Amino acid sequence: MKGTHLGQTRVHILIVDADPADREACQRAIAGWPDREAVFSEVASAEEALQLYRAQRPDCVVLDYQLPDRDGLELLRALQGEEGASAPLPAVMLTGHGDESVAAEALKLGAQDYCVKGRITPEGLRRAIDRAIERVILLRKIEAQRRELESANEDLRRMNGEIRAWYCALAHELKTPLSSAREFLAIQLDGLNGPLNEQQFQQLTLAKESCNQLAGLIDDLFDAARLDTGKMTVHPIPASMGDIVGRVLNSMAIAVEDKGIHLKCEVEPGLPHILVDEHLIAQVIRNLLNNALKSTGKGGEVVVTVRASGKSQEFILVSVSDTGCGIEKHHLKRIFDRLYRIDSNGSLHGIGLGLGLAICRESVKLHNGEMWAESEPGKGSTFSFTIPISRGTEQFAGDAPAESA
Amino acid sequence: MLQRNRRERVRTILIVEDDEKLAIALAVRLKASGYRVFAAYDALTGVCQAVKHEPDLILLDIAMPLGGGWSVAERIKSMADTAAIPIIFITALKEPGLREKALEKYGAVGFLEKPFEASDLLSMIHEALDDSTEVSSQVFMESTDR
Repeated sequence: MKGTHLGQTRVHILIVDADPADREACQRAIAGWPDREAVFSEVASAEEALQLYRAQRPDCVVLDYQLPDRDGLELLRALQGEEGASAPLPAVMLTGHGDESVAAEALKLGAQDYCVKGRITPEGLRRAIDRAIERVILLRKIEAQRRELESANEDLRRMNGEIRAWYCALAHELKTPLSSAREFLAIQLDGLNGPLNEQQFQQLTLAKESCNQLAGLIDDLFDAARLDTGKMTVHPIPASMGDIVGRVLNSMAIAVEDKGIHLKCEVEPGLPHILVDEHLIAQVIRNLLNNALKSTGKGGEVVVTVRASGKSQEFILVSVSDTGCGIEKHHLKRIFDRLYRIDSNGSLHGIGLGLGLAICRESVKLHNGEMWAESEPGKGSTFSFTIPISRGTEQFAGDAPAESA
Repeated sequence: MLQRNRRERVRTILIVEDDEKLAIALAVRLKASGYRVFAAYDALTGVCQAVKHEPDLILLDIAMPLGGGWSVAERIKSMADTAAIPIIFITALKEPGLREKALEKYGAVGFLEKPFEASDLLSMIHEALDDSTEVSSQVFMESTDR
């Protein structure tokens, strides 16, 4: 039986009642409790009760409403003040017959239960005290756990911030020497130290390309960290997907030409502008194109398509198809997974950090879009993503007045 | 007399950049384009150099010891003699909002993320200094090597 109690079996009960006979009756009712060992303190006034509560913190206070100095409700308020505003109060209120409003007020003020004087039975009072004590213990435990969770949460948040800051520092520290190395190469390539022979020019060009590649990887690392720590933010503005694709293609024209790959771009005319973060989406397209160029050999073809899609044309679909080596089914399933890399044997050329496509998919998700891949080994792959056409450019513009209101 | 005229036309640029190697590379590049270049490797020296030389333009790194680029910009903008000097921020930091902060809050004329193309930097400088006639690097190198 004793094992059913959450707390200790020995309980200290403070009885607050102006009438000695009532205090006596109360003690009698509780005494001889089979599974609790009750210890009593008795006081006749609210002031004494408060002092004793402060000094001894009894496990339960049984208080009468009628007290000589203040009424029981005021005493409850004072006791609650001792415990702190939201802490549970181990108190049972004794009210006169037909005084339901006092009982209700007492419960509101933090008492756990009440008994109607004159109808008190040993079982009823014990049950009320029991409940008060156990509830308070439970509530205190819950509160302690809540605090623990909160502090664990706070720790995690702080760690998250530290990790992010560390990635920022890492990106900065890696890029700093890279920048000077790249610039010195550029100085040679631009002939500032005199003309280069063809071999020197070619080799330094390769070195500079490696620097660019390294800068791209550092950016990927940084973006992945930002996605992880929830710090990637989208700055959407109305833009034309066709224009974004066009700009990316322009910036990559030389690389495409160098590889001897036919690049086609098909943009459906008359597409609406959509709300996108141009920088992020351009990065996605660049990434897909880079992958397509990597897996497609000389003389192959890469096609970029931009068109409306969905049942009611509610999406803009961008696809990048290549005639490259394709991707095996088992790789395809995991191709967007973070850190998943395919080596050249596995049919995609070039390895890398396994971050590019994961970042692409996350970036598309941040736009409420989807991204997927289809492929047939030996024939080529198509990577596609959709971005919803927001019917709400008005709604977007409408945010401003609401803010100022 | 001819010589003096040419001297007066030479624009000065202060590079405030704690990575000495990049500062040297940029100095080589800018000298080749006909600019006179000073360099400071920390924020404090950067402010001192700006006051001392009153350059036509400042290339300013952001993350630097002894105050950082923002504080340099603040000091330069707060002093009458240097307030009008155009600033181009260059940084390897990659945080959202940096560009806006540089251009809007600190009134920079340019912002470049490292690594950057020298041609982007040079066209930004030409625009800021309103240099219509680019000094041929050959001519200048001859005149300094004299």
